[in-house]
Amino acid sequence: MATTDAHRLALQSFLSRGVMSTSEVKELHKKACQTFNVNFENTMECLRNFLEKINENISSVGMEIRSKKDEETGKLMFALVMTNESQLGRLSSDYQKNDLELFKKILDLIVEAESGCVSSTDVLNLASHLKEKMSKQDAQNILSRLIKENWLTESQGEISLAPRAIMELEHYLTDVYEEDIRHCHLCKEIAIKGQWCPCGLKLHIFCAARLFRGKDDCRCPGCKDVWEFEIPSDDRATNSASNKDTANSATTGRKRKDRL
Amino acid sequence: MKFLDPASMGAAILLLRLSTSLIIVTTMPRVPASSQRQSQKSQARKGRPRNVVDAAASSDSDDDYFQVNGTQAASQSQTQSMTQAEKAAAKLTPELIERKVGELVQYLLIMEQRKIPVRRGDITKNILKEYRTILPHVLERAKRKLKSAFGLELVEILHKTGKTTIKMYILLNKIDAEKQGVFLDSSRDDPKVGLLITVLSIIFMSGGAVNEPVLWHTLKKLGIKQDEKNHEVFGDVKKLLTSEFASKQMYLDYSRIPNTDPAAYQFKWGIRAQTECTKRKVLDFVCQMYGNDMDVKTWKEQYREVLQSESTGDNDEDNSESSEKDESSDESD
Repeated sequence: MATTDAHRLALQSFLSRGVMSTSEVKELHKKACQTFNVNFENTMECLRNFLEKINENISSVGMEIRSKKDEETGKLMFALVMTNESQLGRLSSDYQKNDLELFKKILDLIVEAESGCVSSTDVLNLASHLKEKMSKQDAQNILSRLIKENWLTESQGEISLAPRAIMELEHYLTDVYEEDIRHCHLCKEIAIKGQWCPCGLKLHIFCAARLFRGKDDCRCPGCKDVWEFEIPSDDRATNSASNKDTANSATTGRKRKDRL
Repeated sequence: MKFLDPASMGAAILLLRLSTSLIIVTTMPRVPASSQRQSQKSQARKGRPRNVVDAAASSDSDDDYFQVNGTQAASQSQTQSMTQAEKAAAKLTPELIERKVGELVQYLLIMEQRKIPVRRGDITKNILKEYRTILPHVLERAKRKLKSAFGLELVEILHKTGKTTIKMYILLNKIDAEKQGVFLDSSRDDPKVGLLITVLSIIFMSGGAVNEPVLWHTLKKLGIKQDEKNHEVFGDVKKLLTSEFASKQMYLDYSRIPNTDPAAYQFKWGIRAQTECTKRKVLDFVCQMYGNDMDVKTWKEQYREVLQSESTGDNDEDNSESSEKDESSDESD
């Protein structure tokens, strides 16, 4: 498949939006192909080929469209990232030096927290610990911006790393934090948020759901102790590997009650 | 200025998304401070200042080169007798050049998001550093890559300030403007673009230059005041026009009228507007504002200018067809 204006426009869209959900990407793919009369099929395979073509074109300039599941919802997200491991990737050029200092301290907190979440109050208190002190209001503004631009997510006062940040900063995180960055025992991907056992084993929420599906007696795969967390229901649509999804499978939401 | 009907112009500022050609890839709020890209590998820094994109990784390629060419000792004595330029050229591996092309492409894209033109000198300073001899080559490759993968055209602008002329670069979207539609998330900038196009129209209809007081007088009729520092949409309006649109982004040219005392200023189209925006689009806009299906030919003088600019190939429209043929054969980069 040769590169067409559909590919180019989709790429420009990624440049301007940064991160998109699977349904947004599908919509983009469809519109781009239809606008430029490019052969289009409403299948994941067609979409995958489309994205691979774009990646082929941009790999030499150190960019890539990546996908990763949102650690909270399990939904697959797509982001355009810089692959050349420059410290904080895209953030380095979009934010000022002092803002980045704050962000790095937020990262410290998040990585340190087993749950991968920190309270917004703790974040704001960081303002006074910076080399160049900033006011709480400034910190609040930066925090709001980070959330708005999809680097962090906020839910009920708890701040965590958004999929876009994990995709963009994966190298940085493993470089800087080394063993403090855990990986999911099941899928082997980086796991900031999730469930864990005191023995050190960690699982994504949706990986735990898959691992323990249908089991009455849930035990840690490592140390065999009882798994202390509540197992969420395994939502097939969000958990299956992205490539097998067809365009029409909607995420059905958690209608079934939790098993435990 | 009597040609503008205040009511319809006011609506236009708020609602009209005409200038898709002016919105290339814009979302991120514009950060006034200069971009500070951190160096690539923190380990390989060797005491260089942590400023923008560092050629830190080049140390790896140096070693590769020396190993390929015999013992370390022999290579060292060789390099001692070479000139600086030769040394630099000798260290160039295809990998390094490719990396520089990548860095340049990223740099251009990021600066373009903020609508800040890139100076040729900045490229040397921030990206190439000691490899400045390969600038033309790297620039050419970046240009090809931007077109083939992104559909963006790298345009060189000659910017004259006083006696000196410097080269600057901006990116233009070569993909059909009408088709861009909903793809690009430019909602954040719409009102500003509406204001910009209004100002460009006023300038165009005034024959290419408008005195500052006259411009403000016209804008006042649209509810925009010169001394308004806290306009709910535009903030400090004067600063927006004279600083952001003019000096920074070069959509407008805000310059002093010679031989005026006290100093009087005028607004003209800036370089970016000249390259990105066509006179025809602006005239279309003006006619739309008047409504009643007004025809562009009503404005004889301006229409003549439109035709003239199109026939002399001021705009890139004439060039776009021939350049498309290059794209299909140019996949490998």
